[in-house]
Amino acid sequence: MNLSGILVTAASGRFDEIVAGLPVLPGVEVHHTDAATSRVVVVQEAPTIEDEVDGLRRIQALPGVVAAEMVYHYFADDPSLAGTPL
Amino acid sequence: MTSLTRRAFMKSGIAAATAATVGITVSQEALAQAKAAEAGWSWDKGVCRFCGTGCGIQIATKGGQIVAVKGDPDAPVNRGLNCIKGYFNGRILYGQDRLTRPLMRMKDGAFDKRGDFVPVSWDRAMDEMERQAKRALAQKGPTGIAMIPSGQSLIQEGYTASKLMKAGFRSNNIDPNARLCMASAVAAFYQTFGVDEPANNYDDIELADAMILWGANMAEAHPVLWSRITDRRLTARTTKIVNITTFANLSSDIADLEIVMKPNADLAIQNYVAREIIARNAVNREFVDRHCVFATGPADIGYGMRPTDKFAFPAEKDVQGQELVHVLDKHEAVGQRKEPGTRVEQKNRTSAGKHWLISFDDFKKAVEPYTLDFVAELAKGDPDEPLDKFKAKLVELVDIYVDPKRNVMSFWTMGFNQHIRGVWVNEQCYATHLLLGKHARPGNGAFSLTGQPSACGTAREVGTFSHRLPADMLVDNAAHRKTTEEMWKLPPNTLNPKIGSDIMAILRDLEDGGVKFLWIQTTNPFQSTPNANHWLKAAREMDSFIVVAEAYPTVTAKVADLILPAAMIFEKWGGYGNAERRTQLWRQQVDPPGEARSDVWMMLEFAKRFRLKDVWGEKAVAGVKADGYPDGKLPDVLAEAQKLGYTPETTLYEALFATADNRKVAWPDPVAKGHGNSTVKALKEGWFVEKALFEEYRRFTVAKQHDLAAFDVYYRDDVRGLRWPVVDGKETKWRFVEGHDPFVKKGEGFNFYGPLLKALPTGNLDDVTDPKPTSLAGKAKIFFRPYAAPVEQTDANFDLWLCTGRILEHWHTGSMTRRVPELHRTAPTAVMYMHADDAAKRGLKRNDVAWIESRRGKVKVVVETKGRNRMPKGSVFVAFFDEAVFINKLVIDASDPISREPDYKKSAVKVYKA
Repeated sequence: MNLSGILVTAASGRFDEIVAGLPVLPGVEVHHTDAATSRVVVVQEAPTIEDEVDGLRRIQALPGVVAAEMVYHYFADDPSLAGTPL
Repeated sequence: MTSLTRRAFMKSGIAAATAATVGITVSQEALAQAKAAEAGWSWDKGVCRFCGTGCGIQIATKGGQIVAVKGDPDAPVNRGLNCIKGYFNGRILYGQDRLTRPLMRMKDGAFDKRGDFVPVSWDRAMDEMERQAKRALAQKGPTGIAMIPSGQSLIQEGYTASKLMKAGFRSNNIDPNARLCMASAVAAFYQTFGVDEPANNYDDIELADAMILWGANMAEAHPVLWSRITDRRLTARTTKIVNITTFANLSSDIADLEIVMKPNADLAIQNYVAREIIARNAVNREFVDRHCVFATGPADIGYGMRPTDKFAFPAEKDVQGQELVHVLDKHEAVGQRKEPGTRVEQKNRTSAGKHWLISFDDFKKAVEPYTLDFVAELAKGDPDEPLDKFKAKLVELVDIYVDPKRNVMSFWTMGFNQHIRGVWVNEQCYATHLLLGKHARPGNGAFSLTGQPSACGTAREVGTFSHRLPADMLVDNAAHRKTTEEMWKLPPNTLNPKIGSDIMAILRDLEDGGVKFLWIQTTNPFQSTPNANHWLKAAREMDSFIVVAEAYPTVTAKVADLILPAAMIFEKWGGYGNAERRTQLWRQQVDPPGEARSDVWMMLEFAKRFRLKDVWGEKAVAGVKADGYPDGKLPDVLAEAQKLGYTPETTLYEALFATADNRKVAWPDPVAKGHGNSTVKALKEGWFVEKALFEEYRRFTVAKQHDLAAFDVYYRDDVRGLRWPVVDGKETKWRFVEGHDPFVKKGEGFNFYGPLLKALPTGNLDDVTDPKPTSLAGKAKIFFRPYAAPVEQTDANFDLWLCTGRILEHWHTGSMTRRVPELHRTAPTAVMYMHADDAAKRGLKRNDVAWIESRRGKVKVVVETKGRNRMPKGSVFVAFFDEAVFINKLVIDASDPISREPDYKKSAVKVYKA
């Protein structure tokens, strides 16, 4: 079970559209937004690092996303994180 | 807490921590949640393991394991961000196929080159290494042993390796994989400025109004720097980005100007730029007159191949023959002011680096043939682009460079460095900036990026090359040897004055039996060097012993005779130096797994097995000719050694490493703050090895304009690395310029104080006319370098250009980024990017399997006609991370004759349906 905190920067004028579009992607939740700087903090959950990498590339490929960079990566195989599938 | 609520709790905490890291305001409650999620973790600063950018990270450990990694908000390089490779920093330690025991090829209980790998004890492994190294020394002398370290070796590892080889074994056959990526940059720094490494730094990105990429796909290879460039482009709207490349790539996406050129045309384009700077009266006369001189060198320097075809495959012989005689093509003839078809004997192939002063008028005359018409016709790389459009782009490039209101940065990496004239193209870029006076100033400069995390900090600064000693000193310079011998407390004339084998020469030495013992650390040369079929065969068939210290079973580990399980980055104390002269040190975070050990420990244990009488007697080394040395020999220095307090029975461990001074540096040390030290633990002694070696090395740098800070300073909570020279506790952002560089005096304006190659004869464009040396103290050189064509050309049989390189998700040969098995899905195999029409012409379409073949070998590859790289007709690109698509078997091993760095970018191939 892997979790990563990702900073997404939206193109000017497309902030609302990006905030609405991000949670549609698998494992992605929007947690914090900053309209003034067009930035969104999302947390992505994925079973493997490979899925995390794919997921980040999906975010980067969203129309209107200027940049998406991984900031925080939690990857311990913590048994308390396994269990209930989403 | 249920797992679901714990998961939600972790996510909120990570979100809050992420927001805080990038400066988005969150509530106190959220911050408290972040803290609670991290309860029981311990955070400490580190450096990213991958490219040369040098991003700062924070590492969390819990229960002896790394559990999380985040971008360091206080790191000025990356300001809290990571690229995709950041996902691997923690995880690389925990791959399922991690090597944890020494493995040796054995048969019937004894070492056997044809045996299978069997786990052995460290003692057994070291016994065999000792036996084999002593055999090599007995058979071949000091040159019979060789070492290939890395631009990923830690500073202390490079220092230990260099001292063990050069002072201990008196062999200069040590050369890092950085030869394969940075050597051309180094030679150009030496020749232009007399000292290695950039004047500028990453701060320039936010100060520049134009950024020009020459053979650097930064969007893929330096993503964090690229995001800073992208930010600059988006926030300062007049900023221009130029991408000069042989194919359209991800860096083209935000470029204002994309110039797709033919291979080697960068040589011609830069001469056109220089010609225009003069023609438009844009030379910064005051700067040039005061701080620069003009220079050139011979053009008949060969191509860095073997001078004989004895070892060549039959198909290679025609290209190899050009090593001795080359016939000028029509463009070379114009560019070199000669007749097309002239047969040029390559007389200066062993003196390729020599150069002399010329006048400004000669320089002007030399660039005169590089008109817009001539260069555009030669350089246009996309057959589908109209010539007029291409010409307009070249004019626009000059407009950007000469605009007096624009700060301009040029960036380059492997497109320039991996080039049969790599030193020349580097020098031409400095020439452009120096002519304009746009160098070593905030926002203005020519900046050589690096590809490995410590190509600068270790390979270059410590000097793990076959010609170097610490702090820009050289083995073939008597004064430098003397300084080094005094620092290392060696008897006079211990050091070998003859430059050793570079990495390609070491592999050729294996092939022809010259090297019998080779130790490889933190690199994968049997996958990463060009023309690999030769070296794979040599490794397995010749009577040699190859030791590979590795964390994972790479191609190189698999061809070894002995594999030593190596501790990885955060399993030991260490330091890296990035491309902007920033030195960053970290603490050990976790213990290495199983019996894995640090490379420093391996070398110290090995050093215990050699006594001075084994290595410091008279030794034959062919070609030695220097004052104080008998011809062809290194003198016996044992008698002198006794005066220094050594005996013939003293071990290399005691003489070189566990010295009285170093033993005073005690472990444990308060700087550790409770962190462990796997090297000290395994060594079972009480000295703090990494600190003692760093402090010993640091003495070379102080007051040499390379000044490093004391070990402990880098561990301070408020320090995120420091850019050398660090003088009076202050780092240096811009070198050579008054007001920023402490070594430039008031009133000087600029001082290019590098001391190397600063007395030159004078001549004209063809040769020296007055051999009397003139001093150029304080000045930089503006070189004229002519156009030269790639040595291997496409023809009716091999009708496509092959370029190789790196992609975003995988780093270099994939040793670390390909470990986690599921990873392979993102980029399952390296694909071959090609133009759809080129594919169709061969009966191929996207996702078909094709053979790609050169004079040197062939591999199967999947055809890709879309995606990130958009090839012009006539060119294909394959990344080199995938051992299943072993592309370096196909690549020519022609190299820059000055830098000895191979050209991975220009091989002729054919492609056909598999």
